[in-house]
Parts: sequence; C-alpha cells; structure tokens
Amino acid sequence: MKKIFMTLASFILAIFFVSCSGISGSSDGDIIRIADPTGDWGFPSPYGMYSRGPGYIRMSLIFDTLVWRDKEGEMIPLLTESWIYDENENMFTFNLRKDVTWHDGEPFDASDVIFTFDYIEKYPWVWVNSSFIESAQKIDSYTVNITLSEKYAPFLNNIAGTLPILPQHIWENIEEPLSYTGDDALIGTGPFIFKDYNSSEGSYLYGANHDYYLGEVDVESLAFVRVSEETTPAMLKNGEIDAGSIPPDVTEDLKQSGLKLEEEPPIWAAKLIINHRSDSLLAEKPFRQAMAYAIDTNQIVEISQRGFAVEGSAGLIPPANSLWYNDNTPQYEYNPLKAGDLIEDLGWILSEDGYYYKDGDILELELSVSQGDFERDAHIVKENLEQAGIKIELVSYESKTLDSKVENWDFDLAVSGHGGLGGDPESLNRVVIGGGFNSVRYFENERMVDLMQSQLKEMDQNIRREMVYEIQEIYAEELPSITLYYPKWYWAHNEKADIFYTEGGVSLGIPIPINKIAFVDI
Amino acid sequence: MKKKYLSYIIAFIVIITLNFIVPRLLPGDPLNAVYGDEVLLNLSAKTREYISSTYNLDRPVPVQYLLYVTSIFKGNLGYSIYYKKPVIDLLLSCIPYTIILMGLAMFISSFLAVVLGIESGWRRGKKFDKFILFLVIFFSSFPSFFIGAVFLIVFGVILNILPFQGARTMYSGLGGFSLSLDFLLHLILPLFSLVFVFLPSTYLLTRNSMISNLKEPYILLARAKGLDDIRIRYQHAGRNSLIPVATHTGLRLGTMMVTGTLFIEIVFSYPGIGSLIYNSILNRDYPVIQGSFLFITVLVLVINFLMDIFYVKLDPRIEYAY
Repeated sequence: MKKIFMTLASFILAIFFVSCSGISGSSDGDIIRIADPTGDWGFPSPYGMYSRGPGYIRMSLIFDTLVWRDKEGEMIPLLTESWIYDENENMFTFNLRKDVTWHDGEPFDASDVIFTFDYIEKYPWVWVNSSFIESAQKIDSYTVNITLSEKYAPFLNNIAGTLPILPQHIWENIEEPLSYTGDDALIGTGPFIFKDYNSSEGSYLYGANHDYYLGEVDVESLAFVRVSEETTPAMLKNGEIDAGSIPPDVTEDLKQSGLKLEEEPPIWAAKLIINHRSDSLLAEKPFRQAMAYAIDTNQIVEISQRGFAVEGSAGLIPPANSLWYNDNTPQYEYNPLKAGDLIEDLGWILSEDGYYYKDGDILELELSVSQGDFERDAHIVKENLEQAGIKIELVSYESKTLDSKVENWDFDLAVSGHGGLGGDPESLNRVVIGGGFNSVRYFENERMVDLMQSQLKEMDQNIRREMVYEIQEIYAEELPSITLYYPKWYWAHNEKADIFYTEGGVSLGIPIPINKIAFVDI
Repeated sequence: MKKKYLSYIIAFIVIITLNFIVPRLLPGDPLNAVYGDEVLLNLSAKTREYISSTYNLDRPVPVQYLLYVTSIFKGNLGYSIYYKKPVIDLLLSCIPYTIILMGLAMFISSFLAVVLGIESGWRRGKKFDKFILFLVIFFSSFPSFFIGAVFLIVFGVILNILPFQGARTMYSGLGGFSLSLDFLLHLILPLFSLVFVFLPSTYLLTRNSMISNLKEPYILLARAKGLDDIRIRYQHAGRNSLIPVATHTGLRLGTMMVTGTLFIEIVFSYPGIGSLIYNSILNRDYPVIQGSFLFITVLVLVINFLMDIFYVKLDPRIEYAY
C-alpha cells in the first residue's frame, strides 16, 4: 500500500513540476487569441521558422521587410521611406527610415540592410532566391542601392517585401543560423516583441512594441494557441478564442452568433496531375483534352466540396487572382460526347462493355490519390472517366509516398494540389517549369516556356500581364494537368480581432488573414 | 547472467541499426517532405545544397550511419530537419507529458484491471463476472482513437465539462495551484481514454491466471488452514496471478507507447512523444524518427531488464532457473 502511495505521490509531484514549467501567461486584459490546428510552426526567427506560410506569419510579426503589402495588395513602405528603380542600371535605391530602432534599443540603419543581403548570400534563405542580387551597396547611413544580376519583375514583392531585415549587431557572429535560438535571435523591428514560444504546446505569445515607428500598436498581447479546426467554432462562440479558421459548413451558424467571417480568396488549386511523359495516351494532347471534357468539375464542387469551392480554370491561375487571371482562357465545359469524339480520333473504339479498346487492349489507367485527401474528388473523377469509356483503377497512397511517385513519374493520373497561385505569377513558373513534385515539368511548348522565362524579366506590368494571359491560354490548350477546383476556406473572428485577407496574400502571397499592419494605427 | 547482458547489447545494436535503415526505406526524402509542399519557396540548387550539407544528407549512407552511431555514443541524437532543433531537446520537451499520461494510465489501468480480474476470477461464471467480462470485451473491441473521439465528443463538446485540447490553457494568466488544476483537468480525458485502452488485456490475463491458480493445491491448503477469503484471494491466488501480468506489461510497453498513446495524443492534441513521432514520420524527419524510436527502444530494454529483476521478487523460483 505504501508503494502505491509513493508512486501516486511521485506522479502528483511530476504533474506539478510539468504544469509549472514555461510561461503560464500574461494578464488576461487586452489579449487576442488566434486558434491554429497545427500549433507549432517553429521558432519564429527567419531561419528557425518552419518553411510554410503560418511560420512566415509568426516571424513577420517580429521582423520587418523594406516594403509590405496593405489590405488592397498595394506596396507600402515599411523600413523604407521611398524607393526608385533605375532601369538602365537595373538598380533599386531605397531611402530608409531614420526613426527605427531594434527591440533591444539599438538604432537601425543601412548597414543592417546590406548585412542581411550579404548574409542570405552566405547562408541561403529558402524564401528568397539571392541569385537575382548582384550587389547591395551602402550609399550613406540611410540609403542603399540594390543592383540586380538580371531583370527581375517580382523583386519588390518577392525580395524587398519578403526578406526580413536582420540586426547586424546580433547576426554577424552567427555561423549556424538554422540552429540559432539564442535569446537575441528574436530581436526585430516589427510591431510585436517576442514573449514566448512553446513548441510542444504549439503556442506563441507576443507583446506590443509601443515604440513602433509606423504607429501605435493597438493590441497589448497577441497569442497563437493550438485548437483543432473542428473545435474552433465552439471556442469562438464562448469567447475562449478571438479568431481562427473554421470548417465551411459552420459559417452560417457562426454568422448568426454575431461573429464576422472572412472568406479566403480561393487560390489553392486541386488538380488532376497527368503523367504526360509516359509512353501511353497521356502524352497525347487530344487525349488530355478529352479527359478535361469528360470530367464534370461542377459535380466535384457540388458533391465532393459541398459547394465550398470554385471550379478550376484550365489556365491554372484562379479567377480570384484578379490582377493576373485571364478571363478569356478557353475552358472545357463538361461534354462526354466531345470527349468520346477526341478519343475515337486517336483510333480507339468503344466496345459493348462501355470501355475503349485498341488492338485488343483496353483503355485503362491508374488514378493515385493520397489517403484522406481528395478521396471523394478521386471517386468522382473515376466515375466521370469510366462513363467516358476509360477504365480507372483507384489506388490510395500515404501523401509523401504519392509525392515521391509523382516526382519520379511513377504514376498515370493523380489527384493532388498546391497553393501559391494568389500572388505574383513567378509561382506559375515554379508549378509549370520548376523542378519539384508540385510542378508539372512541362517543356513541350517552347512558346510557353519562353513566355514564362521572359515574364519574370518584364518590368512593365501591363506587358507582363499580356504575357501571363497568353501563358494561361497555351496552358489551357496543352493541359499538362487539369485544374479541378479551388476550395473556399474561412476564418471567423470577433470584433476584438480585426483581421483581414490581404489582396494577393501576405508578402509572397500567403493566404492567411493575419497581416501585421491590421494591428497598427497608421 | 553474463549471457543475459550480452543479449541486451546485441538487441541494442540490432535495434539502432534498424532504426537507421527503416526511416530511409520510406518513399520520399526529407527535403521534399519539409520544403516541397510550399510553392512559395525558392528552393534553388544552392539552397538545397546548403540544407543538405547542414543535415549531412549529402553524405553517403554508410557515412551517415557511422555519424549516427558515433553521435549516439556521445549522447547526441542529431538535429531535427523539420523542427530545426536538437532532437534531444524535442524529446525532453515531450517525454514528461507522455510519462505522466502513460505512466498514470498504466498505473490506474493495472490497478483496476488486477482488482477486477481477481474479483472476476474469484466469482467465475457469476453475475458480477459476466457483467464485467461483457463490459471489458465490449470496450476492447474499439480502436484507441475511437474511444478517445467518443470521450472528446461526449465530455468535451456535448457536455462541455472538460477541456479536450492540449495539456493546459496557454496564456490564461493562471499560476500556482490553479495552473496545476488546469493541467490536471486537461489530463483527465486523454488519461481515462488510455485507461480504457490498456485495461482489457491486463484484466483478461489476470482473470485467466486467477482461474487457473484457484485450482492449485496451495489454495486448498490455505482454505484447509482456515484463512479468510480476502487473504486467499489477494495474498495467495492474487499475488501469483501477477507474474504473467508483469511479463505482459513489460513486453507491451513499446506497443502501448507507439500505438495506444500515439493515437490518444493525436486525438487530444496532447504534446507528448506520440504527436512528435507522428509529425516526424509525416515530414520524413529522420533524426527525430531515429531519436524517438531509440528512446522507446532503450526504455523497453530497461523495463525488460527491471522486469527480469522484479520477477525474482515476485517468484523466487526464477532465480534458480539461471
């Protein structure tokens, strides 16, 4: 009996010890709590955060960039007062603000900016491609010249508006930035001062930076806490949290409870990926077009996504990206008859069993899908294609296994998806002619490849837009993949948390409604 | 005994080798898993090279193995590719939660299972036995995550009487006793879900062992000596029924941690080692997978070793077996 009590007593001691470790919190007063189903997005330093949008958002509260996007997606100055671009020199000149101090009280100046550009050259930072930077020169304490190695249209958005400026006096001695988590690693110039990060609990706490140069920060504390998406609505209703992403089905209920809803611009694409490099029919453009006619994307949106999605555009860029979407992109309306005609033109004959045959071989393809994700979509795609005479075998894989199969072209068809289509069309290059598994790696159409490479170098936005429009038209014609839909995602929040979606996404195009300037009185 | 030590050392070497090989047999590589999904990233060749060399992913596999083994003996479990933290720090931040959750669940479930098993075995075929047996078999047929989900929905969402997310209310401004109470309240649902997961097998084993022990001549002798029922039940039959239960618990520890606790931790977003393993497998974070499994391996080996010593106390005859 004594032993039992001893064991119990040691558990109670352990509970007390564990529960008291770490920060329990700040005053309950002016704190905004934001729910996040994943919780942990890494140590919020530029090198320590996990390389995903939510990681960037948590870092961006502490660190500032040279420029930033406001609610309408317009570029506004942050650490800089103004900038000019000299086309002849291919150089940006930034006139920096003189009233900025780091969170530790040290003054900010041009040396920090130059240091940061040199630092990412030495220690590559995954969010910015430093190869476009020829040199960063300090003209005086508050003026810097950034010369580009070649013309790079998305410079302002994808480099100046993405790269967090690091304090030289701290980072100059850091040789292993990926693992640096020292006390001063989170000293920035941003509107929030780091207070706490708890990796195992998946929580973050920030305090207002009352010396913020842009204006008064009107929230005393900001916290991110781990809450699953399914339980977020209940916690929002009883005020335990102030904002969070919610399942689309509960939007009406929450609206009636007086909460505000933010609908994320649908810019995440679910696609039918096609192995166009295989020696089968999939390499034939008319066959890919036939599949596009055979698939009823409206049915997928209405049944699989319960109406909470927008039908896919054949040109990949979603209509929600109003700046770059081409309204005249040819689309493939559901038309099984036309699909049949196209397949028959390729020499296949429809048999009595409802499938196409050629030289005794049945037209059969494997459709891969990752477990849990897209399974309902895949069932509808299978049904649609089978109705059009294509026999489909549905195979399910663990998601990373499927990514690996797609990367190695070891598949016929797969349902998968990616984000990144709401901002600058540089991401279009990554998902069409880039090297990763998310890219369709399609080089068959030289005109399209050429346009993709040139649009990056076109500094005139109107001409660039024409190029991106043409890319969409060619993509829709070539169909290296079929865009099925763009899901709609929602956030709900109360009056306390005045959050908004940034047009085109935060920074590089992150579709999360937490833009730090929402908390600043400008 | 020497032979026994040697077998532990061989088991350890085989396990650390498997620990190294198995994650690398998973399709997909860590760079793709950690960075590949995010289209917004600029993963240039130079950046890939820098990350690969930082985590030794560019070295040949035998060199990686050598680095892994030598660092284990230096007490260094490597560096997480996804979490960007030393693996040992990650483990140390998760282990206390798992130990408390699993340890308490094992303690409570073993206590309940043994008492119920002894009582059930004693009253074999009677109403009490039939009722308990039915309940236990009913619960044992559910997978652990289902039990967790039912508890979560009933007590957390519908009745809304207990917290069901994480291990405490973060940034609530609580301190001292109320903070510990908050922690305890968060522990209740995952703990009792786990108790229901662990209980059935121990209960059934105790009950069966009790039934066979009750037929032994020493029970007849105890009765003949005129000892009271409680003494016969617990000190004679009950104590001897514990031997297979102890073996069983020791052997099942690894499975309990990975299967039972992992699912329960995920259901309740409880920040233990199960959640860590789950995320690291999804992200092909080799160092964390290796480190977590190494921890479980060492734990199971140590527990088995302790069990070997413990049996001798429970059943002195075992000592003569060596």
